[in-house]
Amino acid sequence: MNILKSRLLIKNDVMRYKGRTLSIIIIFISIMILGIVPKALYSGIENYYVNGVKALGTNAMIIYTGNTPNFLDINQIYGISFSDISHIDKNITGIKYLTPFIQFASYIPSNNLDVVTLGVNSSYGNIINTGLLNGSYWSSNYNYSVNGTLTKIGSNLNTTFGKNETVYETGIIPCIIGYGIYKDMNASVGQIIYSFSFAPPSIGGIMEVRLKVAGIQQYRNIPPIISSFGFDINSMITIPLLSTVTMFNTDYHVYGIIASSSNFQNSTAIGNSIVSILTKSHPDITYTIMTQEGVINTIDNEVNASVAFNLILNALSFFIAALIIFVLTIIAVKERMKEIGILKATGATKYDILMIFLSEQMLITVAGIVIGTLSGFLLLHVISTSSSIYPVPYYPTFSLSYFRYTDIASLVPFTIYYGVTLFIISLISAFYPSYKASCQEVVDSLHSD
Amino acid sequence: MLIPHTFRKGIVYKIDKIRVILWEDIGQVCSMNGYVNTVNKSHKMLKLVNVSKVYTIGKDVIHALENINVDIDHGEFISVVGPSGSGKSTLLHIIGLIDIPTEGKYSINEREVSTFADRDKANLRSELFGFVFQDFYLFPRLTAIENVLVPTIFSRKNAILNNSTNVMKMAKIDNRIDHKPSELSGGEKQRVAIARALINDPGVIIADEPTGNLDSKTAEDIMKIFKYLNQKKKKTIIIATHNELVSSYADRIIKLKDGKIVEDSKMVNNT
Repeated sequence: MNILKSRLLIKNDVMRYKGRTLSIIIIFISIMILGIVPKALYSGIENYYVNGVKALGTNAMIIYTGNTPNFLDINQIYGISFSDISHIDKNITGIKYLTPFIQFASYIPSNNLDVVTLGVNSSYGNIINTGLLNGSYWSSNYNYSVNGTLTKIGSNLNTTFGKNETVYETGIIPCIIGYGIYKDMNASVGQIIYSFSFAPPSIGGIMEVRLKVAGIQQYRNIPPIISSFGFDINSMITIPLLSTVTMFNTDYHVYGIIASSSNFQNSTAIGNSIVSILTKSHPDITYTIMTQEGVINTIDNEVNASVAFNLILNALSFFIAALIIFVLTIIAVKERMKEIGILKATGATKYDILMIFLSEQMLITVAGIVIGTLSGFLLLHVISTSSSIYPVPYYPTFSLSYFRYTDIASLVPFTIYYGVTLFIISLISAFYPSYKASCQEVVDSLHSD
Repeated sequence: MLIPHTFRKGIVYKIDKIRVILWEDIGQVCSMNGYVNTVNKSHKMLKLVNVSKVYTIGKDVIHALENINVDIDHGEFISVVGPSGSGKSTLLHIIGLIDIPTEGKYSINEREVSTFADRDKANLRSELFGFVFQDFYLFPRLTAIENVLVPTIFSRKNAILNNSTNVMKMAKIDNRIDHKPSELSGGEKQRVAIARALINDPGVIIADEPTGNLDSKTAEDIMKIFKYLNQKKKKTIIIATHNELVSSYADRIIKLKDGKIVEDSKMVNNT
């Protein structure tokens, strides 16, 4: 009899109003996706920033010469110079690395520069450029070309350069090159290893830059795990400060300074010391120190705010689901009032009628939840596998790459709770109209239009 | 507990067979909560005493039935006749437990209906009564046999009684079992409805204008089925109709007018 009951339920009830059934299922799918995907994003961000960066054990910082960085507005450039950085380097101990954070446009006058110096006998004070271009700026305008002995250059930010080396272009200085280049390509001093032309929006024309090896880095003994903002320092090049000054051949102003303390505890003191030195030479400038910790806190706060927003969104979704199920159950009951009469006349009890309507709504709800869950996870898989690996920027920005870091295992219990909650809400919403239907007098049901 | 499955199945089958024999031999068995068991043929099966039904529509009070006194015995074939609005359907609904009287007493096997719980009434509707309606009331997306089987979902009787093929043969619709209502004629739909009414092997068939939507030839065929069920299967048949041909099949006619019984007469030698 259960088979017949199922057939009665599915064939007669659920399948009769296919459009409506499908609509409810689609709504539940959407609600599930709206629950799962943001949760996955937060999980990814948490893992990417908070857990990842915290695990590094260092505290890099960026000191801005202005409160609002604007890469494209040349007028926003303030006046820290390379000599300032050199001065800082000489006067503050405990700095792990220090690098200028240059407004891109600041070296426009030095067109056609041979810019790269691969440091010789580097020591503390060497620049480790960890800058990264935000991909949305002008990546499409890059037009890499091969020069010298290089044969493998890609056309995007995360380009395989040389042998399995990722090149991180900086929007500030195009000089971060994996050390594998000179190691594996046997580059020599004076050799141009890399040239490219591009058209940044700020200059409105094509600019060409050639990178020449100015020296060969004797790689420092840096523990391999240590990295900054998600970068593995071992995959980076260090550029001596003086060489960098030479390469620009001038005292152009830089936008900011990226620094890292040698231990987590003294980072605030070092940041303040740097600002103190800078303030002496440039008292008119306002400085902002953003530490990794600060970035993490910012991201934490933003994630928390988003989670709160998402909770409201989830609550709204649940409310909408409840309302839809409630209204549609009422409609279903009204449409099938005569059927209720027939079923009762043939022996159905109140409980039977209640269960028929509840089962129908629950069947649709479960279908929506299951399909929604599968769709949500499929979507996550597609997003995470199709997005590129994106190193952590200095600013909290949105990237689909965060989905790559989602902890799927932690998402499972959430999905179960979410699905079960949705099911219970749906059940409660369907209960009252179904109960009212079950209490209907047989004769009234039979005489209904 | 350790009895092999096939053996257990055999035992269940035997017990069921005995139950069927007992069922048909003793009379109606209502398996509701144990309080109605075997039927004592010395008293009337259905008894209505001073039953009235009043509807209030707005400020209007409509007396659908007034002081109805009716006794219905096992195996009777009763035709309730009267003009539209005379209370025929209301009387049948009260008898079939799908409506409740405003006043008066209605007893089934000497047990007053007002003492029945909702579940007990549902059980009686499932097992004591079989309903046939003028508009058939079939489920449009189910096939004929599925429609016939619908009451079995709610029945507590054993499946051995629910022989859908037999009832469809009785209703002469066994050649259309896989057809949906939309593929059936009016007469065929009514046969399916009759088979559905028979599926739980009820003692009483209540038919409200069963031929109202049928042509006279088909109506006659349907009435022959009812006659067969009454004479051969000993079913009590109660039909509401205003068709004289239909009422001519009954061996007792109750005439209603304005909610009152104006005549209750037995026909002689009506076979």
